[in-house]
Amino acid sequence: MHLTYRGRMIAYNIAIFLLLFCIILFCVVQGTIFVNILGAENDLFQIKKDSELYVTQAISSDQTHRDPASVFSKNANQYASYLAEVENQHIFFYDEKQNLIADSSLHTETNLSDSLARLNSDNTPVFQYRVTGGVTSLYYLSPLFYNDKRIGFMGCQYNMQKMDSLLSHIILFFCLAGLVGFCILIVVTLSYADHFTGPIKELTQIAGEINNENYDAIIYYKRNDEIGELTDAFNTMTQNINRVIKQLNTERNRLASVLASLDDGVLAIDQKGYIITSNAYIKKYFNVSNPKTIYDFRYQSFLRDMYDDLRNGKNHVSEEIDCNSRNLLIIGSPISDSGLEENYLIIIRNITADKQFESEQKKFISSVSHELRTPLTTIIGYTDMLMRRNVTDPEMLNKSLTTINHEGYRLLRLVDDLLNANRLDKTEFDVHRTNLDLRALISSVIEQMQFKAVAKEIVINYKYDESIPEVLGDYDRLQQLFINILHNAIKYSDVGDIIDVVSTLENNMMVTSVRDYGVGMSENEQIHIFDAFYRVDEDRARSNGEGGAGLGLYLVKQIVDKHDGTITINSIPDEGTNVTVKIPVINDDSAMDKGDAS
Amino acid sequence: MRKKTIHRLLLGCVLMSVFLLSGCTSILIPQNTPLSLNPFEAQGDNHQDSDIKSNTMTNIGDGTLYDVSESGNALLINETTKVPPFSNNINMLKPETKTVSSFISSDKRLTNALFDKENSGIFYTEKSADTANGGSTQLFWTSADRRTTKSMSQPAEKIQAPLCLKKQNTILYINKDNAVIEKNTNGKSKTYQTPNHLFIDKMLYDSTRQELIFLGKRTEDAEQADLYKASMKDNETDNEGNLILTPKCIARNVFDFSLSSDNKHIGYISVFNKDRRLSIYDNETNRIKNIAEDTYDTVTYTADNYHIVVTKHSVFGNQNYQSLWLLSDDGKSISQLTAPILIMSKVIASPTENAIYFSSNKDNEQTSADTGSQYVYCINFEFLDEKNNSKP
Repeated sequence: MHLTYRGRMIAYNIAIFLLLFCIILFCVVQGTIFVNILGAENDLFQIKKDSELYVTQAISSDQTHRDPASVFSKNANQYASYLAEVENQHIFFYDEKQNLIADSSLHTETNLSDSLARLNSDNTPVFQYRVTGGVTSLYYLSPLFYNDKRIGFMGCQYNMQKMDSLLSHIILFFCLAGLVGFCILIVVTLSYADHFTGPIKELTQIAGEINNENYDAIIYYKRNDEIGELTDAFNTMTQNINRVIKQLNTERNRLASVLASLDDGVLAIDQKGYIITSNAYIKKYFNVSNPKTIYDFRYQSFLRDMYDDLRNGKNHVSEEIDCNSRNLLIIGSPISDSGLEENYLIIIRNITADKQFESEQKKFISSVSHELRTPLTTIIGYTDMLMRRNVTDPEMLNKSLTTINHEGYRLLRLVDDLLNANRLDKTEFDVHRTNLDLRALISSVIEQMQFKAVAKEIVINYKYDESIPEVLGDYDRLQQLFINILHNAIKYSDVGDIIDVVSTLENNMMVTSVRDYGVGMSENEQIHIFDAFYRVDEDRARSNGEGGAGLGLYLVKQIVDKHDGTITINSIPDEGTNVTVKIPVINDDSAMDKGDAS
Repeated sequence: MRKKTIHRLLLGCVLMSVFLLSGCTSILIPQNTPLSLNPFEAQGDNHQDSDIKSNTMTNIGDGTLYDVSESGNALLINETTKVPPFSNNINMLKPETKTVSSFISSDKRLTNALFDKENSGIFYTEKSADTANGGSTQLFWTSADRRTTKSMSQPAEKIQAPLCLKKQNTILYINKDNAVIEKNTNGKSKTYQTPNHLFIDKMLYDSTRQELIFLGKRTEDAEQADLYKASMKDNETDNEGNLILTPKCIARNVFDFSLSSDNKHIGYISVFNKDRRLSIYDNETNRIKNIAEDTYDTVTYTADNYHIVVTKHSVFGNQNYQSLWLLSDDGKSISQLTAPILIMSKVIASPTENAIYFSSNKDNEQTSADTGSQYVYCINFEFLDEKNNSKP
């Protein structure tokens, strides 16, 4: 049987009470007996003195002149009766030979031979404590002397009934008091046990709440005692735990936000393969949510292999892999700190864009190299020829110089395009917007492109809506934009075709479409037409040696984006291409919202 | 439950049982075993230092003792004849020779008798059975030669028990009005009133200071009396010119008192808790000295004025029986003179010897003093210190 703290408290109280009760009862009873016997001894001594005086005086007054012992023996009964009446005790006498010669009581059956033997030997009074039939008596024996000569013995049975009665009453009242006290003890202990165990229960309850992550729980205890100190310490501990937990949560959240803000995937693994932390890119790259262990990446064996390599002691492991159409760079390294076990960190970096950029860069370099080589080859060819052949023919000279000049300008245009493309990523390409009439600008551009159109007998028609308001735009960039579009339209139109340019107002946007009826382009070409350095095959066929870098429509797209507009291309091969540019116009709201992006 | 806990519980139960069971019987003093008491243990609280070398108790005559003469050579004894014609006698008993001579014989009850100061006569009281006077007591004086008898009081006065000699032939008695009457054999009389008409149980006269020392109660049936002394110098009178006694209380709840023969000390017994206390009042310094506490009943100064004879009853025994004890006035010496006996008279100390006289029942039967079946006893004692043995 396991006792609770409360149960033990009650049990100990009861045990202590019972023990004290027994000790007190024992002491009281024994003390009462002892004190009463001591008192009886005093009384017995007095009785002995009275008896001796009486007997000696009676013998002295005896006029028969006999031996005192004889006188004593003869009158012993009378003496015993008288003394019994006087002292209210049972008196008896023995002669010198220890024969009972007188007894005030007729029914004495007491054997005092042992006391008499002892008395006979040392002549000092003897007493014996006896309990007979539930009655306590003290038997007292003393020698009787007459003129210093022993004439016999006197005895007295001192009745201790008063003591017995007193003891009975004491025991009775003690038992009653003990019973009442016991009942009171039970009641008080039961009620106060809760009082004392209450704070402990409350502590336990609060500890349970803390266990359930309620760190705001506080115990209220008014008294400044040991329990008060315990509760104060507990409350302080709780508050400290609360503060530390909050700090840890804050740090964890910070870490989680740092991890979430990283552009790379992060996977931290412990010695046993359990995932310490990871970020959202893990799900994005590998489609694994909330991984618990490294072995949850069932289809990513490269991760498991890297983990094994790290566990086997490699300090740095990196690998490029293709996964789900992405190029990923996986870098793994151990995390170790003095005193802590070694864990492992795997970084997953998406290098798809880098790879693509690298590929495009290679293409661009290849394209640029090719474009640069073509005019340079022409220039070098003609200059070699002029130098080697010592040409004097003016016509040949003129043609050669013209060609060299023409190719030089072509190189210059190519370099300008490259420089413009480079500036797109720089802040100096930011547009400088002013209010401008885009219809006028387009009309001006059409005017500028007339000489090219006329050369191919192409007619450019421009229709526009009179109610179109001004736009907020960069004049030079927008001019370049429409030059590039019209340039392409003229390039890809056949001789004698027409090009329709229409400007309308739709939903606060100036919509300008440039429609040619030329060769058009395929869907695949439409997808990439705005990519940097992208050139369609047809462009090469129609460049007449004037091929660009593939940046024209890339620049157009950037300019439109800078003006918060949109550009779309719809083209059907052999039917022509429609390029639609939408630029927001200025109204009352947009005039307040938009500003010069300088 | 673990074994250790079970063992502890069992041990606790055993101990408790031992305690409870043994508590009801004596452990400190073994049963049925004779135990010797060494002399000091045997005496217990009764260890006494006695300055008495020896004492003897002698039956010197029959009758109820009333008084002893100034010379100490005669005792006044009351005796009633057993056979018709019934008479009440006051006899004179010579303690040395144990001879008895009849002095007064009366058909009335003789309730008290005193020698006068000069031994020229005897004062005695007679109680008549006269129903007309309600059974009154009357005081008489008879000369030593028995030729002259004078009536000292009127029957109507209905004198009370206490009698006291003032001086040579002058006696003090109490009348029915609780007045103290002073009368001499020549008939001169004075009446003293006490405030509130105190009921006087016993009185003695201090001739040195001319003071009356008495036990007085406010009501007749009051349990305890107080000890007073009052001047009798005839200085104080009331508005009507009557002599008054102005008592001064010496002690409260007093049972008995005795005046030393030199009038310097008053020994008295008063209530003290459940017992009684023997104290001595110094008449010169008015200081009280407590001597001893016990179950004392009466007190009498001995002739040497340094010892006191007291009677004491037993707490546990028959309280009608009293033992006689002799104490020194400082309480250091105490000697038991007799076993408990029925003392049926005053205990009177001899004025000339180390002796005391009293009457006790024949065969120690509990009979009233009036029946006269009593012995007169004399206890002579000899002190250890020779100086105390010289006659005072």
